[in-house]
Amino acid sequence: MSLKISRRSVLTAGAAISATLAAPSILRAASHGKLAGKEIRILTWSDNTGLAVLENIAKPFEELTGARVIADRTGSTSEMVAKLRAAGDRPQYDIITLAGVGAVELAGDGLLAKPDLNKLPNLEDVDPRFRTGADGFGIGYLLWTGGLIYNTKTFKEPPKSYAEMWDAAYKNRLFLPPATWTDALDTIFATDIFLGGDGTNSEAAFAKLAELRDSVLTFGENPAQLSELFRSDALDIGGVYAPAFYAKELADPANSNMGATYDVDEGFFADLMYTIMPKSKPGDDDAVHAFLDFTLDAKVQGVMAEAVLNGPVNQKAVMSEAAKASPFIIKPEQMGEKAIIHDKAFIAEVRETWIQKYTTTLS
Amino acid sequence: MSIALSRNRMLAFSLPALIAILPFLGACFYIFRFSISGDKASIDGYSIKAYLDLMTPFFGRSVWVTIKLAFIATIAAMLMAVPLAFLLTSLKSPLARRILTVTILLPLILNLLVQAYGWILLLGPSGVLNSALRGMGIIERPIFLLFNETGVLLGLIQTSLPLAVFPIVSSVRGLSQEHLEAASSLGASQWRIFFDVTVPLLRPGIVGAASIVFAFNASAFAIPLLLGGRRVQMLGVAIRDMISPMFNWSGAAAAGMILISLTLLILVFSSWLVRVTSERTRG
Repeated sequence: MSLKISRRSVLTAGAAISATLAAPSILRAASHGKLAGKEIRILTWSDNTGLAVLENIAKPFEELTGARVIADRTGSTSEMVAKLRAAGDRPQYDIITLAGVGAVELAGDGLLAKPDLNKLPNLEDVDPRFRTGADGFGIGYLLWTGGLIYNTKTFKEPPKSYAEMWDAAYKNRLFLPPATWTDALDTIFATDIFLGGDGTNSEAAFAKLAELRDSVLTFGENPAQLSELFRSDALDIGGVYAPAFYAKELADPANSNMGATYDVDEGFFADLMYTIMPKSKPGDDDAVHAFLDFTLDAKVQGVMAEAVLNGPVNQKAVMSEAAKASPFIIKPEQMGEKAIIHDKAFIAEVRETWIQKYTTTLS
Repeated sequence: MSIALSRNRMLAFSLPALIAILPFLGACFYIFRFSISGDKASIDGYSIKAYLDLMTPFFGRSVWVTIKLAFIATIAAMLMAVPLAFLLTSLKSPLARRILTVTILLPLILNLLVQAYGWILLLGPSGVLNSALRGMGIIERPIFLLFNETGVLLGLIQTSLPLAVFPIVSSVRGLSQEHLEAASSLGASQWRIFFDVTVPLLRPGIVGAASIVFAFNASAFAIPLLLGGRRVQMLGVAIRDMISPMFNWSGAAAAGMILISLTLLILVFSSWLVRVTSERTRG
């Protein structure tokens, strides 16, 4: 068999190779063109997790599609809910990422639109338990987990119970989460659980929490300030709080004095973050769905997990070996019986009352 | 005729200022209306429930902390302001006077946030003081002068000092040298002159300055928020907490009205005090 190389075959092969090599950029250019000029307004957190959203989701999405992402940042799910409620039927945002309880409340208020699942191909790779929630109005995004944060100088071994926070040795060296954060609701739950309840007996929990009024140094509204307080050896313990804020610090406990643990007798808290779309959103529907789908992309989920220690919901999330082995990134398959997942309808019902009581009990 | 013209002119010149004040008065009325709203989240109907709901130990504590800290800060600021005012008026060198004036004025020029962070840099757990004490081996772990009432008090005194100094400076400048010389020629000691002549003559300025400082401190928000570590619940912070996280707009408006009433009451009391003591001094 002879191989005959003609001028014509060389040109044909060259064209084919060039076309193959150029395909990704052609596809990219095509998708770039598709959303160029479109604007998406998102509402995310003001802390480093919000910054990670801008760096790892918004920026690459803009580069990939040509759409412009305009971000607004705020402190907590409660504030996000308040903003959307205040806007009524004229929301400023196309996409909001928030704690599950917020999605349930807003869905109950009739302020959300149901995403079209057919426009979210990445959803196929998401663990079926975490695909949708809030009656189909929320799309699972990442797992937010909370446990105890402790001083590695004070604790040679990680604390084993939330009851440690009541130890007189840590008076004035204790922090609690701020009232508006869902971590505060977790703290009420944790208190009742270690008292022997199921987490819902708030009266007993508040009576116990009142004992901490004079022990609290500060409420962790500013995660950066907390890390500084740990670094200067001013804090010993606090929670329920998310290690997610401290990816860098937890990797360097010698300098940060910071440790975190989920291995607590009463269990750790896991909350599925949702992405929601307000009804009558101002942006283009296709662009908004494209962004929503992009948040579930395997690469994006992996990068976010490494950046802010959130648990990925995409089962094919691309992560480094170190991230896969990290005790601070809870993967869906690790959610054993120690993971406490709230009944969001119950939390939505009691949230405002609990926030009020938490504020008046501990201030 | 000339007086009438002069008043008209004054009115004309004051018109922009009066127009500028109008929105504030409108806001005060709006806050009052919200405080008697039947609904927590919007103005709808009439009710005094928001006021009744404030009759709690939590709010009582907040009012008490506000009055206590504002009062102590006012006394401390006044004690520092009087000698400073005398020093400022006694300086002969214009340069020295300017430098001291600017130094005293700095808290008014600088953003409250910057001043609060300045205190954190000085007195925070990893601030200058704690680092120095730890460096010298005097303490092992940081001491806390911030994130408590002490921290808030320091911040209040420092930020309100200029408001105390300058009204007293005006009074010191207006002191009659004849009175002082007469007392001295009659053989009164320096202390006697100070307490029997100077202080009564300065009293209107001192009481006026103290009432401004008290009102400023009672309505403080940024300082207790940043230096109190969210633990010192002065009324400004309590009102903020009622809006978010509690979403109780009518309650926040009612608390705001109580703060305004409290401040007005102090101002009325202080002006009454000035009038009464002035009459006694004259008598």
